This record gives sequence, structure tokens and C-alpha cells, in this order.
Amino acid sequence: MPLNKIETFFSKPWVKYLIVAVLLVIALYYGVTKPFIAHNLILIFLYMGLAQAWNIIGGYAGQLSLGHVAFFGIGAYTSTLLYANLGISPWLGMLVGAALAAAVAYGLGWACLRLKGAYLTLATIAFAEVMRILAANFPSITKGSVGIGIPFRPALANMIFRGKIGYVFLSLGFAFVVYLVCRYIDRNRLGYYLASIREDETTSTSMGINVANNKVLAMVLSAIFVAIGGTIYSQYILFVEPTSEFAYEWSLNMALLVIFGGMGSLYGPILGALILVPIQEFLRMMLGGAFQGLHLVVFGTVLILTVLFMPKGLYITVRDKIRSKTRKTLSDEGGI
Amino acid sequence: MKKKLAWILVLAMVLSVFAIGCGPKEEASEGGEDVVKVGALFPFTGSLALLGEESFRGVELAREEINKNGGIWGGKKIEFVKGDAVDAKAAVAEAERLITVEGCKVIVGSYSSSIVQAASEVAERNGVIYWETGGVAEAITTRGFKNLFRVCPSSSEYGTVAVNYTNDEIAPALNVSPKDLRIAIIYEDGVYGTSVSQASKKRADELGLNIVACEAYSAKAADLSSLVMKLKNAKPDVILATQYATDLMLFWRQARELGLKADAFIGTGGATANTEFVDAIGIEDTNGVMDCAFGSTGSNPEYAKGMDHVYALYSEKYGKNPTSIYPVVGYVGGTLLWETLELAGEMDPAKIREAALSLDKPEGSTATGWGVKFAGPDEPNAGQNLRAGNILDQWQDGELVVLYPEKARKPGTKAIIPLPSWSK
Amino acid sequence: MENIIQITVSGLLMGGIYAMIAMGLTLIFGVTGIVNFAHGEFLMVAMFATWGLNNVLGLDPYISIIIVVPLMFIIGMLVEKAMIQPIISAPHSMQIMATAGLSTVMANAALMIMQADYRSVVTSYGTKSLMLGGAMFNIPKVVGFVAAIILTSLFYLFFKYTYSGRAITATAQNMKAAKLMGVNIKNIYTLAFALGSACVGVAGVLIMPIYYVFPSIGTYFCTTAFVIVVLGGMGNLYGAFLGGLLIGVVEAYSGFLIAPVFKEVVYFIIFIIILVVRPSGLLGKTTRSS
Repeated sequence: MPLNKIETFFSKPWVKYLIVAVLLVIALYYGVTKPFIAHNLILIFLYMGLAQAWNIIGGYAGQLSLGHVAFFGIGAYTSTLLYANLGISPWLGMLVGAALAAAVAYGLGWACLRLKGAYLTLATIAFAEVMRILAANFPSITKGSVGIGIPFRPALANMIFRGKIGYVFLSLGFAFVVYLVCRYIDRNRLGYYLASIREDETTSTSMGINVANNKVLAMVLSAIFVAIGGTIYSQYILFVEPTSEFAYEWSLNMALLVIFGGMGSLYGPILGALILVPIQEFLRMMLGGAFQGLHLVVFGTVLILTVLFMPKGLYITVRDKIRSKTRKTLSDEGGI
Repeated sequence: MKKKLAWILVLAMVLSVFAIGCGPKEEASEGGEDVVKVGALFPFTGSLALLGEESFRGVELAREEINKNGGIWGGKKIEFVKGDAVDAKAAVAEAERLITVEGCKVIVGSYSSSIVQAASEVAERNGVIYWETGGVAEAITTRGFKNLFRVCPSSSEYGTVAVNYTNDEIAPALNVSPKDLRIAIIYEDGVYGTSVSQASKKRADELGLNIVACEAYSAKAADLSSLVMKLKNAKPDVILATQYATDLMLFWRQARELGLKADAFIGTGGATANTEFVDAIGIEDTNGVMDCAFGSTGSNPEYAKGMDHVYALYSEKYGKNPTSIYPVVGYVGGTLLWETLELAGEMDPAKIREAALSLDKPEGSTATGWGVKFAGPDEPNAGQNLRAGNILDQWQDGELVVLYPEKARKPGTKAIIPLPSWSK
Repeated sequence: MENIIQITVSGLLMGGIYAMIAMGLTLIFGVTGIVNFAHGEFLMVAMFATWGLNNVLGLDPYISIIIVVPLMFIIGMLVEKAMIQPIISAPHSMQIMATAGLSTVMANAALMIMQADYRSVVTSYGTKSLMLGGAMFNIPKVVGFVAAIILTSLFYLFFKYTYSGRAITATAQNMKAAKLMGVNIKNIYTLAFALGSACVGVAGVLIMPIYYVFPSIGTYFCTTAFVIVVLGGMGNLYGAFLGGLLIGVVEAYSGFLIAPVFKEVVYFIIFIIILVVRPSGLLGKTTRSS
């Protein structure tokens, strides 16, 4: 098996750009011809960006947050409120939302990031719940549970597009930017620091890594991009409400895609989004009408099976498999 | 072994990615000449599943009936393509699929206001008719959509009917000036409770009534004793409550336990009219409780023609009585849609729109008692059925009796005001 | 004054219910280190079982406890063997994902089988209450409260005087040492998980006279149970009991004094503060290391 060749092939830099280019072409083609596929592409890219952003704190730094929807909601609500009330362009609102999310993440990070394991997870869940209840019950600001409709005025400046294709590129661009940031982290000091923190905090401290600062930094970076994703999503759906924008399912899904794809790896979240998002949509489409709830039973089962049989996630499992095969072939050859 | 399984899993997933592109196309080519496809978008899973399914059952009964009676356009059968809209995101995805993959030109939905808002946006952009039977939020029809029709009344109708009745009937019966009446509003904090309670509050403010408490709570709360205690402290004469079913029962149990007193209780929403409410709280303690809703089983049969018929159809198919008014609402929405389609003559959104706008039925011509006249595209509430009104009824000895409007009232009915005190 | 008494009583009684639900969760965490995100769904299953026994056989909920609790014990055992044991030493994230997946599967399987309808068990005592010292005591809640005390005492005796109980304590304190002492760790994990499920089975039966059961009922109690478990110190049964009462009272007062809708916000904030200031909880031991 020429597995080592595949490995070297994929490690060449131009291959990645080729993949992106191919994706772009497919996106363009389907976006024009089939709105339903385009919708799925938008979801895939959006989730890809969100999952990669979550991966910074959840994967690289190993801090399992299930409250990231708080940042998502902050992003969605900030840009929407600014646009609907003051007419400020969502592009600007997106940045304001990201800044706000960064500030909140900074505070939450300092308060909660020294917690370990399940404690951190529960604290972040509680935080997101608080945000949801606040959004639902301050109608003077957020219009409460009734939600805010965004008037449909298609224009690039309004981040509203008539067809799907604009959103396909918007979400693809988002996923790509987050990818670049993650790649930077992956290959630079921050990535090594975070990996070191994930493996062993005590040792990291003794090696001179400022554990607290780096964790908070990861949290802030992660929150910024999740908030941007929130803005993009709200501009796409054109409607924000507390139960959707602060739904626990977003947090769970972000984590899920990363865990499925491979935590703390650059390509894990991308793979996770590419595979799991279509499956989720596909299952609902095929089974949702037949039996109430069957598609979610299947999806949950897939999840459990993944954890049981592929605990390191798809990307890392496959990579290790290829590597061990390669190593074996090499040693076999060496033996001869 | 484990590894093999893992590989199979991966393979299956990759395959299904491809299937998403290919699967539905084959399905779309199914369905012969004799079938008219209509999308049915409801929340079948998640927290809205109960009433989402109930609403769907209503349109499903209407569909089975029309098909049994020969379908539309001289023998074409109607077929539903179901879409599961758990939340706004899924609603958009499913609407998109129903329209572009399944080729539906009409979507009927969807019970929940947030789902309508998200999904009708997609329908509007694709020039597809969105036929709403149960979502009440005001904002649904204020967006100037051309292809959206709402059969049921909006939330403002609850406020108007319930508060007007308080002002016009309850206050005189209690011998107090309406301005001295102490009114408390409680509501679940979701979109349904919030929009209805806002309408009540607005109407009460317009009439200059005295609101002594306005409290939201989560319908998921496991304990409402603090809400009851708060109300007890506010000493209201009239309580207006927008609640779902389980929190309604919890509230009433705890209200009885803690001895909350009021002279009138109006449930602004359908849950208070469910028979389960009487089963759970008892005939004695529900005596005099009022409910403001889409329609009522206690309506004068002359007014709500065919309510019994829907009940009979429902219990025949599902083996029990409906737990809410939503099956009836769905049925009314469904039959009106078939009528519109028949009138339009073909599956062309422009013609369907024209047919819908031409409908003109007086009040009292449907199972809920509604008439039909949709607001035209230039009006501020485009697509709203202007002749859909709410009724107000009351539990009297375990039976629902309609008090308002006059036309729906059975002759000789008298309102029980004030509420009797708790039985022992 | 009358208000204060009533609110305190209502809060404490509700707290008893919460405590019962939280106890199973904390037991499972204390021994196996797993946060069971499907705990609420176990409650749902127990409630459906109680409802089914009442509906089909006409059994009174309080009598059906002798069937439902062993049933939940067995279900817990099977689940542990099938999917908890393989991930017992996996990272937290994997364990959380597995139990979250289980929660999705259970809730939606229930939706498939039972539909979304809400169901209740009608009993003669379901709505009865007792006037005592100026406050109303709801009878089924009093029963729940007493049961919570009995359950805590039983666990105390179990941990102190039986071999299995002591083995569980030993494992929770130091898994490796317990293993060296000849404790069969695998069996202890299974036992703890099954006991935790049985515990939530008791809770499911006892709340059936006052609550409705439907597939998503689990989420109504789940977050509260998590808060209580952390508050009392993860893995601390007595802490869970006290934490339950505390949350019940806090909820009642914040609902009354601030607004019913913000009572969750109040206890979530308390929860976050406690986590930050004293992560081991009010009665907690030092944080468990994995």
C-alpha cells in the first residue's frame, strides 16, 4: 500500500490550497444550481469555523467548555441590535460583537479557567444559561423571547444577500480565516504552550509557561471567532431569538464536531464539520418525517460509537493508522 | 475488531455525505400525475413536539378527508412531504429542502411563532406560499410578505378579547369601576407567553386599567410556589395567565395549596380549555375559570360548525380526544387551503395567492367559528385573516360554556363571576 | 411572617425532591469520576415505568417502587457495562460526549415510543396537603422529603457497615490503593453506577404523583441537579442532600423577592461563585484527580 505516498502528498502545502479551490468550485456550482445544497454548505462552513474556534480552547488547551453559545449569542445579538436599531452595518456590528465577546471571555476566563474537568464544563454551561435567561427577560433591550426580525435589504454593506451564494462565500471566508488563525497557533509558540498546558499544567508552569495567561488568551481568541459566527448566522436566518441564539445545542455541536474530528488537531474540526453536519441534516431529512425522534436516536448512537471506538477522533485515528503502517513498511524494507 | 468497526463507521459516514447530494433527487421524481405535493412543516421533535404534532394531526385529518372525498381538481390526491422544524435553524433547512428539493409550491405549518418567522422568510424569497395555521406572534404578518397567509388570529386578539371582557363584563359584575380592578398578568417567558401577555398589557394600558403584577416564569420550572406567593402578596382581582399545559396544572395545584384568591382567572391561550385541566384540578375547583382561545368546544354549534366533526375524526384515528384546540385549528387551516387550491386551479403561487385573497366567508363558517378574509398585500398586516377572532369561554360544572362573542354564545348562558372559593 | 414560613417550607420540600435526584448523580461521580449528562433521562425512564405500571397494572406509585427501583438498578448496570466501562479512563471530554449522546438517544427513543404527550398518575393523595404551624405541606412532597432523609441514612449505613459500601468508599478515595487491597474495581464501578440509577429511580417514583412525565422532562431537573452536586461537593452524598435543600430555599426566596423568572439566574450565579471561590463545594473533599 502506498500509504506513505498519500501521507507525503497531503503534507505538501499546495495540496491544501488545491482542496480549498476544489471546495470553492463545488460551492459555486451547487450554490448556483441547488439552493438546498447551498444551504447545507453554508451550515457546514459555518460549523467548520465555529468548531475550529472552539478547538482553540477546547482542543489545543484542553479546556472543555460547553458554554460557547454565550459568545455566539453575543455576536448575533450585538450586530442585530446595532443594525436593527441604529442602522449600523453588520460588518461593523460583527467587530463590536467580537470585541464584546472578547471582553466577556476575558472575565469568564479569569474566573473559571482554573477549574478542572467537569467543573469547568458545568460552570460554562451555567454561564450560557444565565445569558439566555437575561436575553429572554430584558425585553426593553432584546425584545425578549419574541425575538428581532432583521429587515431583508439585500446589499453587501448590510451583509444580506439575495441568493445563497453570497452566504456560501461569507461562511467559507469565515471558516478560512479561522483556519488561518488556527494554523498560526498550531505552528507557533502559543500552540505548543496550549498543548503543554493540556497535557500537564504543573509541568508547564515549572517550564516557565504562564498557564493562566495562555488559557485566557485561548479563550478570548476562541470567543472572538464564535461571536463572528453568530453574526453571520443571524444575518443568514434574519431573525434572532434567545432560544435559538443561546441554545445549548450549539455549544454541544461545536464540541462534538471537534471531538469527532480530533481534538487539538488542525484538520480535526474541519473533518468533523464536513462529515457530521451533512449527516445530521441528512438523517433529519430521511427519517424526521417517518418517526418522531428517530434521526436523533441514530445521531446519538453515532456519537456514542465514535467515543467508544474512535476516542481520539477521526483525523488523529486515521493519521496514526497511516503513520504506523508507514513505519511498518519502512521497517520491513529496512529488514530486507 | 474495534478498529474494523471504526473503519466501517467512517466508510458509512463518507457514503452518507454523498447520499445527501443524491438521495432526495430520486425521491423527488416519485409521485405520479395524480398527486399534489404540499410541504408540512411542524416541530415534530424537541420541546415543541407535543403541540407541533397535534397541529399536524389537524391538517392530516383534513388531508385524509379531502382525499377520501375525491381530492381536488377532479381527483388529484394531496400528499404531504413532512419537514421536522425543531428550531429556527432546522426550519430554514427544512423549508429550503421542501421547496428546492421536493418542489413544493405550498408549505403548511407550523404552530410555533419562531419557526414561522424563520421558515416563511425562505418561502417568501422563493415565491412559495406559506400557509400558517397556529403561530400567533404579531411580527409574523407585519413584514409585508406577499406569500404568507395566516389563518389564525394574532396575539393581539387575545389581549383585546380578554382585557375587554374584564373591562366590560367582569368589573360591572363585581360592582367595581374597571380602573379600581387589580389585574395581574402572568406568562411563560417563551415567545408565545411573551407576545400574548404584551398584547394584554398593551390593551390594559390603553383602557387605563390597574396592573398590579406582571410576572414571567419559565414553563420548565419545577416549582411555582414563589410565583403564587408573589401573586398572593399583590392581591389581584383578575389574573390573566398565558401558560402551557404542564405549568398551568402545576400553577393551579400550588395556587390551591397556598390558597391564592382572585375573583376571576382568564387563561389567555388554549391550555386552560383542555379537558386534562379539569381532570387534574377537579370539576369543583375549575368552576368559573375562564379561557380565551382560538375556539371552543362549548360554542354554539350554529357558530362553530363542525367542531364535533373534527373531534370525531380525531378520536377515530388517534383513539382519544384532542388535548388542545390545535388539531381543530390545523383542520380549519387545512380545509381552507384545499378550498384555495381548488379555486386556484393549479399549483401556481400567483394563482393561489389570488384565490386566497378572493376568499370571503362570514364569521361562523368554520369549525373554530372564524370567517375568512385575508388582508391584502398593501395592508400593514398583509396575509392576516381579518375575520379570525378569539372566543372566551368558561368552565361550568366540567363543561365549557362560551361567553363571548355574543354569536358563539348558547342562549341562556350566564357567567359565573366571581370565582367560587376553593373546595375543601 | 406568614410568607416567610411558607416560602421556607415550600423551598425545603422542593429541596428534598432536588436532593433525591442529585444524590444518584453525585454517587456516580464520586466513585467513577463520570458526570452523567443522561441523568435526567434516567429520571424520565423511571417516571415512565411508574406511569406504565399504574396504567397497565393499576399499581399505586408508592407500591411500584419495589419494581421500578430494581429495574433502574438493572438498567444502570447494563448501561455501565456497555458504555461506561470502556471509557472509564478516557479523557473527560470523551466521557461527557458519550453521556450527552446517551441523553439524546434516550430522550428521543422515548419520543418515538411514547410520543410527546404528557402523562400523569392520578392518586387520591396527589393534591392533598397539610396545614401545620401556619404553612401548607404538600403530602407527596413531604413523602419525598422523608424519603430523601431515609435514603441518605441508608447510604450512611451502607457505606459504613457493608463490605460493598466500604469498597465503594475506598475506591472513591483512592482507586489504586483500593485495587491493591483486592477490591474488584470493575464491579465497584458497576455497582456505583447501578446504585446511582436506582437512586434516581426512587426519585422518579416519588415525584410521579405531583409531576407529569414526557420525553423531555429530564432537562427540567438536570441542570438543577448539577448545580446541587457541585454545591455539595462532587461525590459527597450528604453534601447533595444539604445542597438540595439550600437550592430549594434559594430558589423559593429569589423567586419571591426578585422575580420567578430569575430564580435560575440567582442560583447559577451562586453556583459559579462557589465554583470559583471553593471548587470543592460546601462539604467537598479535595478535587478528584483523574
